[in-house]
Amino acid sequence: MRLFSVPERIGGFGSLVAVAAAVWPALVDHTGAALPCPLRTVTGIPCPGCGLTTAAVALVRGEFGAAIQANPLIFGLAAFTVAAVPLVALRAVGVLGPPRPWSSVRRRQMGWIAGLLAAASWLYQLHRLG
Amino acid sequence: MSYPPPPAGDPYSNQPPQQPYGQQPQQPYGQQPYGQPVAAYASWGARLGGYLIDGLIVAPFSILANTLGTSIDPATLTPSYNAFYFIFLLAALAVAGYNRWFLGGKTGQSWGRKALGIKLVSENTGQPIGPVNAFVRDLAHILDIIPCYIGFLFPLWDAKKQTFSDKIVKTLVVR
Repeated sequence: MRLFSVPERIGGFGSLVAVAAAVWPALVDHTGAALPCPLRTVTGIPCPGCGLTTAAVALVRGEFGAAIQANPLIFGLAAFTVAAVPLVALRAVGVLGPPRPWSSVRRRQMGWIAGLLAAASWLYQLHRLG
Repeated sequence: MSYPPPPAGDPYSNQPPQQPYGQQPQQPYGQQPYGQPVAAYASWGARLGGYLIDGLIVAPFSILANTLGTSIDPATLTPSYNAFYFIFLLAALAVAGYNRWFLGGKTGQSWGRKALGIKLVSENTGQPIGPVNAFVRDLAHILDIIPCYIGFLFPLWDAKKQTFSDKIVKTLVVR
């Protein structure tokens, strides 16, 4: 049985990220640990996800400008996270039916959209860090 | 040498007809008819939990290796490693190897997966994949890490809830 649709799952992941971003600075300040970009560490080239840690930490602190500057994709994740709350609630009370898997055509279309978004984000990060 | 197939409806053919009348056409692979339970792929959260437990089991050894096993020269700030470092690192490797590769390959369940009630199986046979493949699968996790860790997030939306390493080694994690 599919319990949660893909947007709800991504939203659930987003809430985990929000919790992690809230405690992250306290962890990092003491240990010096970080979540490095593997691509940038190995090749020196930033990847489309660069700046997401900074952006997540900034967003949970309410620093929207800093979050946009680091990586605007974090607002996409935040939108999923906010949208998942009413979706899960409506499904729990039975207003929404169980989620149905998408057709392979729509999956492929969404794959293209995600790919284009990633490409746009990559250009942004190359411009910011390159 | 192969013979052409007998004509459809041949009463002397011992082969079953290709599409018996009145029977539903075969569903394409990977697509489930509506209303039937989809194959019970493990959720991303359960997989993450299993992975974290497997990591926590090894963590004490790594911490001991980095505290008891290393000393930093106060003048040059370069770390030096003593015998404890290598002993604890080997112990960590042995535990991880037994847990993730031997147990994970032989039974499909490392301690973490067992705790979460999930199992690593082959996509083709549905059976555990063996220690060698379990090791190769963990090596292939590098490919999940390189593109901004996105491979680890793939089970959130992938139709079979597979990471890149699952796709390469042709494995599934099921409940």
